[in-house]
Amino acid sequence: MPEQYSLYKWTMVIDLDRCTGCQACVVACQAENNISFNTEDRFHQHRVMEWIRVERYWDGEFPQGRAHFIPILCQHCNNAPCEPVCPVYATHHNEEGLNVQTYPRCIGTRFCANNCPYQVRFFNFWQPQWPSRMHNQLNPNVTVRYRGIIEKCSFCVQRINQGKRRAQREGRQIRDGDIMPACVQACPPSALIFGNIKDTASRVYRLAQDKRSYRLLADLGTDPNVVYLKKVEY
Amino acid sequence: MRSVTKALGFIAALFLLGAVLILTPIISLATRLIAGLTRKRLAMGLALLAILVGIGSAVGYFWVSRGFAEIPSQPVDFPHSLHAGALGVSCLFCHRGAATNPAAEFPSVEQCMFCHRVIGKGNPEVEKVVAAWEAGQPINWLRINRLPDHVHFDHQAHSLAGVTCSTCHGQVEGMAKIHKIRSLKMKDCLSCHRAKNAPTECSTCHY
Repeated sequence: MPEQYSLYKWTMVIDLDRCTGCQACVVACQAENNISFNTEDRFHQHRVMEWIRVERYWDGEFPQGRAHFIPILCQHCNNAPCEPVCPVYATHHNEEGLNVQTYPRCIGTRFCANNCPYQVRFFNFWQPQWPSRMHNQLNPNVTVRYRGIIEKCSFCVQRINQGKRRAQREGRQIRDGDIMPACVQACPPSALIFGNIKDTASRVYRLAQDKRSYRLLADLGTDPNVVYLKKVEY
Repeated sequence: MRSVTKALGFIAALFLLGAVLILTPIISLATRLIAGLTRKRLAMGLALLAILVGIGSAVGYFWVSRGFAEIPSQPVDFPHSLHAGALGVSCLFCHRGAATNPAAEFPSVEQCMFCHRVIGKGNPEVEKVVAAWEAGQPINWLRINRLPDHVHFDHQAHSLAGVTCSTCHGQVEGMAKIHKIRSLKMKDCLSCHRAKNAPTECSTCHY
Protein backbone atom coordinates (compact mmCIF):
# COMPACT_ATOMS: atom_id res chain seq x y z
CA MET A 1 0.00 0.00 0.00
CA PRO A 2 1.51 3.37 -0.90
CA GLU A 3 2.22 5.60 2.07
CA GLN A 4 -0.12 8.57 2.31
CA TYR A 5 1.79 11.53 3.64
CA SER A 6 0.40 14.53 5.38
CA LEU A 7 1.27 18.17 4.74
CA TYR A 8 4.85 17.55 5.81
CA LYS A 9 7.62 15.26 4.76
CA TRP A 10 10.74 15.94 6.75
CA THR A 11 13.99 15.75 4.87
CA MET A 12 17.58 16.56 5.69
CA VAL A 13 20.17 17.68 3.17
CA ILE A 14 23.84 17.18 4.05
CA ASP A 15 26.27 19.21 1.99
CA LEU A 16 29.52 17.23 2.15
CA ASP A 17 31.39 20.00 0.36
CA ARG A 18 30.76 22.17 3.40
CA CYS A 19 31.34 19.59 6.13
CA THR A 20 34.60 20.15 8.00
CA GLY A 21 34.26 17.11 10.23
CA CYS A 22 34.21 19.22 13.39
CA GLN A 23 31.83 16.84 15.25
CA ALA A 24 29.68 19.68 16.60
CA CYS A 25 26.61 17.78 15.36
CA VAL A 26 27.68 14.71 17.33
CA VAL A 27 28.07 16.69 20.55
CA ALA A 28 24.80 18.55 20.02
CA CYS A 29 22.97 15.29 19.42
CA GLN A 30 24.41 13.68 22.55
CA ALA A 31 23.30 16.65 24.63
CA GLU A 32 19.85 17.00 23.10
CA ASN A 33 18.88 13.37 23.13
CA ASN A 34 20.19 12.21 26.53
CA ILE A 35 22.74 9.81 25.10
CA SER A 36 25.06 8.46 27.76
CA PHE A 37 28.84 8.76 27.54
CA ASN A 38 30.76 6.58 25.13
CA THR A 39 33.75 5.45 27.13
CA GLU A 40 36.85 3.82 25.70
CA ASP A 41 35.88 0.28 26.66
CA ARG A 42 32.56 0.71 24.85
CA PHE A 43 34.43 1.65 21.69
CA HIS A 44 36.53 -1.48 22.01
CA GLN A 45 33.37 -3.55 22.33
CA HIS A 46 31.77 -1.79 19.31
CA ARG A 47 28.85 -0.81 21.50
CA VAL A 48 28.97 2.98 21.28
CA MET A 49 25.85 5.09 20.94
CA GLU A 50 26.05 7.79 18.31
CA TRP A 51 22.79 8.79 16.70
CA ILE A 52 24.90 10.82 14.30
CA ARG A 53 28.52 9.98 13.61
CA VAL A 54 31.12 11.52 11.31
CA GLU A 55 32.88 8.93 9.18
CA ARG A 56 36.32 9.93 7.93
CA TYR A 57 37.89 8.76 4.70
CA TRP A 58 41.49 9.50 3.72
CA ASP A 59 42.24 10.40 0.13
CA GLY A 60 45.99 9.76 -0.34
CA GLU A 61 48.69 9.33 2.29
CA PHE A 62 48.82 11.46 5.41
CA PRO A 63 51.00 14.52 4.75
CA GLN A 64 49.63 15.16 1.27
CA GLY A 65 46.29 13.43 1.74
CA ARG A 66 42.89 14.98 2.11
CA ALA A 67 40.23 13.84 4.53
CA HIS A 68 36.61 13.47 3.49
CA PHE A 69 33.86 13.44 6.06
CA ILE A 70 30.40 11.92 5.88
CA PRO A 71 28.00 12.54 8.78
CA ILE A 72 25.80 9.47 9.03
CA LEU A 73 22.53 9.37 10.88
CA CYS A 74 19.30 7.44 10.51
CA GLN A 75 18.30 7.89 6.88
CA HIS A 76 14.58 7.66 7.66
CA CYS A 77 14.17 5.44 4.60
CA ASN A 78 10.84 5.40 2.85
CA ASN A 79 11.37 1.68 2.23
CA ALA A 80 13.04 1.03 5.54
CA PRO A 81 14.58 -2.43 5.95
CA CYS A 82 14.28 -2.13 9.73
CA GLU A 83 10.51 -1.84 9.75
CA PRO A 84 9.20 -5.16 8.40
CA VAL A 85 11.48 -7.20 10.65
CA CYS A 86 10.19 -5.76 13.92
CA PRO A 87 7.88 -8.34 15.49
CA VAL A 88 6.10 -5.81 17.72
CA TYR A 89 5.79 -2.79 15.38
CA ALA A 90 8.05 -0.76 17.67
CA THR A 91 9.59 0.83 14.61
CA HIS A 92 7.28 2.08 11.93
CA HIS A 93 6.74 4.90 9.49
CA ASN A 94 4.57 7.84 10.36
CA GLU A 95 2.64 10.07 8.02
CA GLU A 96 5.40 12.65 7.88
CA GLY A 97 8.02 10.30 6.52
CA LEU A 98 9.73 9.76 9.86
CA ASN A 99 10.96 6.36 10.87
CA VAL A 100 9.73 6.30 14.46
CA GLN A 101 11.08 4.17 17.27
CA THR A 102 8.54 3.59 20.05
CA TYR A 103 10.54 2.77 23.17
CA PRO A 104 7.81 1.29 25.36
CA ARG A 105 6.96 -1.19 22.63
CA CYS A 106 10.49 -2.37 21.89
CA ILE A 107 11.36 -5.80 23.26
CA GLY A 108 14.99 -5.73 22.15
CA THR A 109 15.16 -8.44 19.52
CA ARG A 110 17.75 -6.32 17.61
CA PHE A 111 16.43 -7.58 14.27
CA CYS A 112 16.13 -3.98 13.05
CA ALA A 113 19.75 -3.19 13.90
CA ASN A 114 20.88 -6.27 12.01
CA ASN A 115 18.81 -5.34 8.99
CA CYS A 116 19.91 -1.69 8.80
CA PRO A 117 22.45 -1.18 6.01
CA TYR A 118 23.59 2.14 7.51
CA GLN A 119 24.27 0.80 11.03
CA VAL A 120 22.50 3.63 12.77
CA ARG A 121 20.44 1.66 15.26
CA PHE A 122 21.89 1.16 18.72
CA PHE A 123 21.06 -1.32 21.40
CA ASN A 124 21.18 -0.37 25.07
CA PHE A 125 23.42 -3.05 26.46
CA TRP A 126 23.53 -1.27 29.85
CA GLN A 127 21.33 0.95 31.86
CA PRO A 128 22.51 4.43 30.84
CA GLN A 129 24.33 6.22 33.63
CA TRP A 130 25.56 9.72 34.19
CA PRO A 131 27.73 11.22 36.91
CA SER A 132 25.40 12.39 39.69
CA ARG A 133 25.33 16.11 38.88
CA MET A 134 24.79 15.48 35.16
CA HIS A 135 21.25 14.26 35.81
CA ASN A 136 20.29 17.90 36.07
CA GLN A 137 21.25 18.59 32.48
CA LEU A 138 19.15 15.81 30.94
CA ASN A 139 16.66 17.07 28.38
CA PRO A 140 13.18 16.65 29.89
CA ASN A 141 11.61 16.51 26.42
CA VAL A 142 13.37 13.28 25.52
CA THR A 143 12.90 9.90 27.14
CA VAL A 144 15.91 8.51 28.98
CA ARG A 145 16.07 5.10 27.39
CA TYR A 146 16.58 2.01 29.48
CA ARG A 147 18.49 -1.21 29.14
CA GLY A 148 17.35 -3.71 26.54
CA ILE A 149 15.83 -1.50 23.84
CA ILE A 150 16.92 -0.10 20.51
CA GLU A 151 17.28 3.61 19.95
CA LYS A 152 18.20 5.79 17.00
CA CYS A 153 18.00 9.26 15.50
CA SER A 154 14.45 10.60 15.65
CA PHE A 155 15.06 13.74 13.52
CA CYS A 156 14.48 15.44 16.91
CA VAL A 157 10.78 14.65 16.79
CA GLN A 158 10.33 16.55 20.07
CA ARG A 159 11.42 19.73 18.28
CA ILE A 160 9.13 18.98 15.33
CA ASN A 161 6.18 18.56 17.71
CA GLN A 162 7.06 21.76 19.57
CA GLY A 163 7.51 23.68 16.33
CA LYS A 164 4.10 22.60 15.11
CA ARG A 165 2.46 23.71 18.35
CA ARG A 166 4.27 27.04 18.32
CA ALA A 167 3.04 27.67 14.77
CA GLN A 168 -0.47 26.62 15.77
CA ARG A 169 -0.46 28.99 18.74
CA GLU A 170 0.71 31.85 16.56
CA GLY A 171 -1.89 30.92 13.95
CA ARG A 172 0.44 30.41 11.01
CA GLN A 173 1.98 27.69 8.88
CA ILE A 174 5.39 26.29 9.71
CA ARG A 175 8.00 28.41 7.96
CA ASP A 176 11.11 27.04 6.33
CA GLY A 177 13.86 26.92 8.94
CA ASP A 178 11.40 27.03 11.85
CA ILE A 179 12.24 23.52 12.94
CA MET A 180 15.84 22.57 13.48
CA PRO A 181 17.14 19.31 14.89
CA ALA A 182 20.01 19.79 17.33
CA CYS A 183 22.66 18.76 14.79
CA VAL A 184 21.38 21.24 12.21
CA GLN A 185 21.30 24.02 14.76
CA ALA A 186 24.86 23.28 15.88
CA CYS A 187 26.50 22.92 12.44
CA PRO A 188 28.96 25.86 12.09
CA PRO A 189 29.28 25.79 8.26
CA SER A 190 25.54 25.00 7.81
CA ALA A 191 26.33 21.74 6.08
CA LEU A 192 23.12 20.26 7.46
CA ILE A 193 19.81 21.67 6.28
CA PHE A 194 16.46 20.44 7.51
CA GLY A 195 13.00 21.13 6.17
CA ASN A 196 9.77 20.05 4.59
CA ILE A 197 10.35 18.71 1.08
CA LYS A 198 6.65 18.98 0.27
CA ASP A 199 7.03 22.75 0.43
CA THR A 200 8.41 23.56 -3.03
CA ALA A 201 9.71 26.92 -1.80
CA SER A 202 11.87 25.34 0.88
CA ARG A 203 15.65 25.21 0.80
CA VAL A 204 15.58 21.46 1.20
CA TYR A 205 13.43 21.02 -1.90
CA ARG A 206 15.73 23.21 -3.96
CA LEU A 207 18.90 21.49 -2.79
CA ALA A 208 17.45 18.01 -3.34
CA GLN A 209 17.16 18.92 -7.05
CA ASP A 210 20.83 19.90 -7.15
CA LYS A 211 22.93 17.90 -9.59
CA ARG A 212 25.38 17.07 -6.79
CA SER A 213 22.70 15.21 -4.85
CA TYR A 214 22.80 11.51 -4.16
CA ARG A 215 21.37 9.09 -1.63
CA LEU A 216 23.51 6.86 0.52
CA LEU A 217 23.55 3.25 -0.77
CA ALA A 218 20.84 4.22 -3.23
CA ASP A 219 21.17 0.95 -5.13
CA LEU A 220 19.63 -0.88 -2.16
CA GLY A 221 16.32 0.82 -2.92
CA THR A 222 15.76 2.10 0.60
CA ASP A 223 14.77 5.54 -0.73
CA PRO A 224 16.19 7.60 2.18
CA ASN A 225 14.90 10.95 3.38
CA VAL A 226 18.46 12.18 3.86
CA VAL A 227 20.03 13.68 0.76
CA TYR A 228 23.80 14.08 0.41
CA LEU A 229 25.44 16.69 -1.81
CA LYS A 230 28.94 16.14 -3.12
CA LYS A 231 30.77 17.43 -6.13
CA VAL A 232 32.47 14.44 -7.74
CA GLU A 233 35.89 15.19 -9.19
CA TYR A 234 37.07 13.04 -12.07
CA MET B 1 -17.07 14.97 43.06
CA ARG B 2 -19.32 12.26 41.61
CA SER B 3 -16.37 10.10 40.75
CA VAL B 4 -15.12 10.39 44.33
CA THR B 5 -18.39 9.14 45.76
CA LYS B 6 -18.35 6.42 43.14
CA ALA B 7 -14.82 5.46 44.21
CA LEU B 8 -15.77 5.46 47.89
CA GLY B 9 -18.81 3.34 47.10
CA PHE B 10 -16.65 0.89 45.23
CA ILE B 11 -14.23 0.62 48.17
CA ALA B 12 -17.11 0.06 50.59
CA ALA B 13 -18.57 -2.63 48.35
CA LEU B 14 -15.16 -4.28 48.16
CA PHE B 15 -14.81 -4.29 51.92
CA LEU B 16 -18.29 -5.76 52.33
CA LEU B 17 -17.62 -8.45 49.77
CA GLY B 18 -14.25 -9.23 51.36
CA ALA B 19 -15.77 -9.38 54.80
CA VAL B 20 -18.48 -11.79 53.66
CA LEU B 21 -16.02 -13.93 51.75
CA ILE B 22 -13.50 -14.07 54.61
CA LEU B 23 -15.90 -14.25 57.53
CA THR B 24 -18.10 -17.06 56.18
CA PRO B 25 -15.40 -19.73 56.18
CA ILE B 26 -14.06 -18.50 59.51
CA ILE B 27 -17.48 -18.79 61.14
CA SER B 28 -18.16 -22.15 59.56
CA LEU B 29 -14.71 -23.32 60.60
CA ALA B 30 -15.23 -22.17 64.16
CA THR B 31 -18.58 -23.94 64.44
CA ARG B 32 -17.12 -27.12 63.01
CA LEU B 33 -14.15 -26.89 65.31
CA ILE B 34 -16.54 -26.80 68.20
CA ALA B 35 -18.31 -29.82 66.73
CA GLY B 36 -14.93 -31.59 66.62
CA LEU B 37 -13.31 -31.31 63.21
CA THR B 38 -10.75 -33.47 61.46
CA ARG B 39 -7.33 -31.99 60.87
CA LYS B 40 -7.67 -32.41 57.07
CA ARG B 41 -10.74 -30.24 56.85
CA LEU B 42 -9.16 -27.58 59.00
CA ALA B 43 -6.20 -27.44 56.59
CA MET B 44 -8.56 -27.15 53.63
CA GLY B 45 -10.40 -24.31 55.29
CA LEU B 46 -7.19 -22.46 56.00
CA ALA B 47 -6.04 -22.92 52.38
CA LEU B 48 -9.35 -21.49 51.17
CA LEU B 49 -8.91 -18.54 53.52
CA ALA B 50 -5.40 -17.92 52.18
CA ILE B 51 -6.67 -17.96 48.58
CA LEU B 52 -9.44 -15.50 49.39
CA VAL B 53 -7.04 -13.15 51.18
CA GLY B 54 -4.73 -13.37 48.16
CA ILE B 55 -7.50 -12.42 45.74
CA GLY B 56 -8.60 -9.56 47.98
CA SER B 57 -5.12 -8.13 48.28
CA ALA B 58 -4.57 -8.43 44.50
CA VAL B 59 -7.75 -6.43 43.84
CA GLY B 60 -6.67 -3.93 46.48
CA TYR B 61 -3.23 -3.63 44.92
CA PHE B 62 -4.64 -2.80 41.50
CA TRP B 63 -6.94 -0.25 43.08
CA VAL B 64 -4.07 1.46 44.89
CA SER B 65 -1.72 1.23 41.90
CA ARG B 66 -4.21 3.18 39.80
CA GLY B 67 -3.72 5.97 42.29
CA PHE B 68 -7.31 6.67 43.28
CA ALA B 69 -7.03 5.49 46.84
CA GLU B 70 -4.49 8.03 47.99
CA ILE B 71 -5.32 11.64 48.68
CA PRO B 72 -1.92 12.99 49.71
CA SER B 73 -1.44 15.62 52.37
CA GLN B 74 0.34 18.57 50.83
CA PRO B 75 2.98 20.44 52.84
CA VAL B 76 0.64 23.44 52.86
CA ASP B 77 -3.08 22.69 53.04
CA PHE B 78 -3.90 24.65 49.91
CA PRO B 79 -7.65 24.80 49.28
CA HIS B 80 -8.38 24.86 45.55
CA SER B 81 -12.03 25.10 46.55
CA LEU B 82 -11.33 28.56 47.99
CA HIS B 83 -8.97 29.92 45.31
CA ALA B 84 -10.48 28.46 42.15
CA GLY B 85 -13.97 28.00 43.61
CA ALA B 86 -15.11 30.76 45.95
CA LEU B 87 -12.69 33.43 44.73
CA GLY B 88 -12.90 32.38 41.09
CA VAL B 89 -9.19 32.73 40.32
CA SER B 90 -8.43 31.42 36.84
CA CYS B 91 -6.30 28.25 36.61
CA LEU B 92 -3.87 30.16 34.39
CA PHE B 93 -3.27 32.82 37.02
CA CYS B 94 -1.09 30.37 38.97
CA HIS B 95 -0.42 27.57 36.48
CA ARG B 96 1.05 29.95 33.94
CA GLY B 97 2.43 27.44 31.47
CA ALA B 98 -0.80 25.54 30.90
CA ALA B 99 -1.68 27.37 27.68
CA THR B 100 1.79 28.06 26.31
CA ASN B 101 4.16 25.37 27.60
CA PRO B 102 4.34 21.60 27.72
CA ALA B 103 4.31 21.83 31.54
CA ALA B 104 1.50 23.63 33.35
CA GLU B 105 4.00 24.64 36.06
CA PHE B 106 3.63 24.87 39.81
CA PRO B 107 3.58 28.45 41.03
CA SER B 108 6.70 29.48 42.88
CA VAL B 109 6.58 30.73 46.48
CA GLU B 110 7.22 34.19 45.10
CA GLN B 111 4.05 33.91 43.04
CA CYS B 112 2.01 32.97 46.14
CA MET B 113 3.47 36.04 47.83
CA PHE B 114 2.08 38.32 45.09
CA CYS B 115 -1.19 38.15 47.04
CA HIS B 116 -0.22 36.73 50.41
CA ARG B 117 2.08 39.61 51.24
CA VAL B 118 -1.18 41.37 52.01
CA ILE B 119 -3.94 38.78 52.15
CA GLY B 120 -4.45 36.08 54.77
CA LYS B 121 -2.10 37.30 57.50
CA GLY B 122 -2.46 35.14 60.61
CA ASN B 123 -3.84 32.10 58.82
CA PRO B 124 -1.54 29.24 59.95
CA GLU B 125 -1.35 27.79 56.43
CA VAL B 126 -0.53 31.17 54.89
CA GLU B 127 2.12 31.67 57.60
CA LYS B 128 3.83 28.49 56.33
CA VAL B 129 4.08 30.09 52.89
CA VAL B 130 5.41 33.31 54.39
CA ALA B 131 7.97 31.33 56.43
CA ALA B 132 9.13 29.52 53.28
CA TRP B 133 9.43 32.86 51.49
CA GLU B 134 11.45 34.42 54.29
CA ALA B 135 13.71 31.38 54.54
CA GLY B 136 14.18 31.36 50.78
CA GLN B 137 13.05 27.75 50.61
CA PRO B 138 10.73 26.21 48.02
CA ILE B 139 7.56 24.40 49.05
CA ASN B 140 7.78 20.76 48.06
CA TRP B 141 4.30 20.22 46.69
CA LEU B 142 3.41 16.60 46.08
CA ARG B 143 2.65 15.65 42.54
CA ILE B 144 -0.78 14.14 41.89
CA ASN B 145 -0.61 13.12 38.24
CA ARG B 146 2.73 11.63 37.35
CA LEU B 147 3.28 10.09 33.93
CA PRO B 148 6.11 7.68 33.19
CA ASP B 149 9.23 9.10 31.57
CA HIS B 150 8.43 7.63 28.16
CA VAL B 151 5.18 9.58 27.89
CA HIS B 152 5.21 13.26 27.02
CA PHE B 153 2.03 15.12 27.79
CA ASP B 154 1.88 18.63 26.36
CA HIS B 155 -0.50 21.03 28.11
CA GLN B 156 -0.17 23.56 25.31
CA ALA B 157 -1.29 21.11 22.64
CA HIS B 158 -4.37 20.18 24.62
CA SER B 159 -5.37 23.73 25.45
CA LEU B 160 -4.88 24.67 21.78
CA ALA B 161 -7.24 21.85 20.86
CA GLY B 162 -9.83 23.31 23.21
CA VAL B 163 -9.59 20.68 25.95
CA THR B 164 -10.55 22.26 29.28
CA CYS B 165 -8.52 21.70 32.45
CA SER B 166 -11.45 19.91 34.10
CA THR B 167 -11.48 17.20 31.43
CA CYS B 168 -8.44 15.60 33.05
CA HIS B 169 -8.16 17.33 36.42
CA GLY B 170 -11.85 17.24 37.38
CA GLN B 171 -13.83 19.92 39.15
CA VAL B 172 -10.83 21.37 40.96
CA GLU B 173 -12.88 24.33 42.17
CA GLY B 174 -14.81 21.93 44.38
CA MET B 175 -11.82 20.08 45.82
CA ALA B 176 -10.66 21.05 49.31
CA LYS B 177 -7.80 18.56 48.85
CA ILE B 178 -6.62 18.02 45.32
CA HIS B 179 -6.74 14.44 44.11
CA LYS B 180 -6.57 12.34 40.99
CA ILE B 181 -9.77 11.70 39.06
CA ARG B 182 -8.56 9.80 36.01
CA SER B 183 -6.18 6.89 35.69
CA LEU B 184 -4.25 8.66 32.86
CA LYS B 185 -3.11 5.29 31.59
CA MET B 186 -2.66 4.89 27.85
CA LYS B 187 -6.13 3.39 27.48
CA ASP B 188 -7.61 6.45 29.15
CA CYS B 189 -5.69 8.83 26.84
CA LEU B 190 -6.51 6.84 23.72
CA SER B 191 -10.23 6.62 24.44
CA CYS B 192 -10.38 10.42 24.33
CA HIS B 193 -7.97 10.74 21.38
CA ARG B 194 -10.04 8.30 19.34
CA ALA B 195 -13.33 9.94 20.24
CA LYS B 196 -12.05 13.40 19.26
CA ASN B 197 -10.13 12.24 16.19
CA ALA B 198 -6.87 13.47 17.74
CA PRO B 199 -3.58 11.94 16.57
CA THR B 200 -2.97 8.41 17.79
CA GLU B 201 0.40 8.05 16.12
CA CYS B 202 3.04 6.71 18.57
CA SER B 203 5.46 9.63 18.16
CA THR B 204 2.77 12.07 19.26
CA CYS B 205 3.43 11.12 22.88
CA HIS B 206 6.31 8.63 22.90
CA TYR B 207 9.66 10.09 21.89
